[in-house]
Amino acid sequence: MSKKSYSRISTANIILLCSLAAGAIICAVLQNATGVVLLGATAVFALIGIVANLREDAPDIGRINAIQYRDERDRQLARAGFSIVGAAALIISVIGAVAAAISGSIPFQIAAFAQLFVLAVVWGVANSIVVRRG
Amino acid sequence: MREASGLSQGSLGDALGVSRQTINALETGRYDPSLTLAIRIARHFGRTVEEVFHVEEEL
Repeated sequence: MSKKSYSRISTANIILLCSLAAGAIICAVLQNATGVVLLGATAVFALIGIVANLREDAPDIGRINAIQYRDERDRQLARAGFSIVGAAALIISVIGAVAAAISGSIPFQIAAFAQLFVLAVVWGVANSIVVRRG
Repeated sequence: MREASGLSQGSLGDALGVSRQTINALETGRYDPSLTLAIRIARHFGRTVEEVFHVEEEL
C-alpha cells in the first residue's frame, strides 16, 4: 500500500496568504468591496495552487510555481526563474517610472519611483549578500 | 547502479530526500548535484563520489 506524503506550506506562502487575507480584512473594515473581492479571489486561487502542489510527488514545475520547493534542484531552478523575474521587474519599473514622469500624475509618480527605488535597494542588498556568500 | 539495486527513481529520491524528477535529471545529465547530495548518493550505494560521478575533462 503506497502512502502519499505531503510537505508543509512554505514560509513564503504563509506570508503571502496572510498578507492577502489581512488586506482583504482591512478592505472589508473600510467597506471597500472591490478590494475584498480582488484580494479574496487572489488568496483563494493562490491557496488552490499551493494545496495542489503540496504532495511530494507533484510535478517539479508545479512545486516551483507554487513556491513549494522539495529539494536543492527545485531551489536552483527557482533561483534561475526569479533572476529573470527580477530583471523583468527592473525593466518594467523603469518603463513605469518614465510613463509616470510623462503623465504628470503625482500619486502615479510617487508609486512608480518608490517601487523603482525599493527594487534598486533590494537589488543592491541581494548582490551584496550573494557576493559575500560566493 | 540504481536499477541494479532494484530501486525506482521515486524510492531512491525518497531515500535521499529529493524528488523523483531530481533523480531523473541526475541520470540524464541535466542536473549537477551539490557536493552534499553527491556524497549522500555515493554513501547510499557504498561507493566513492568518483565511482558514481564522472567528470569529462575539458581541454
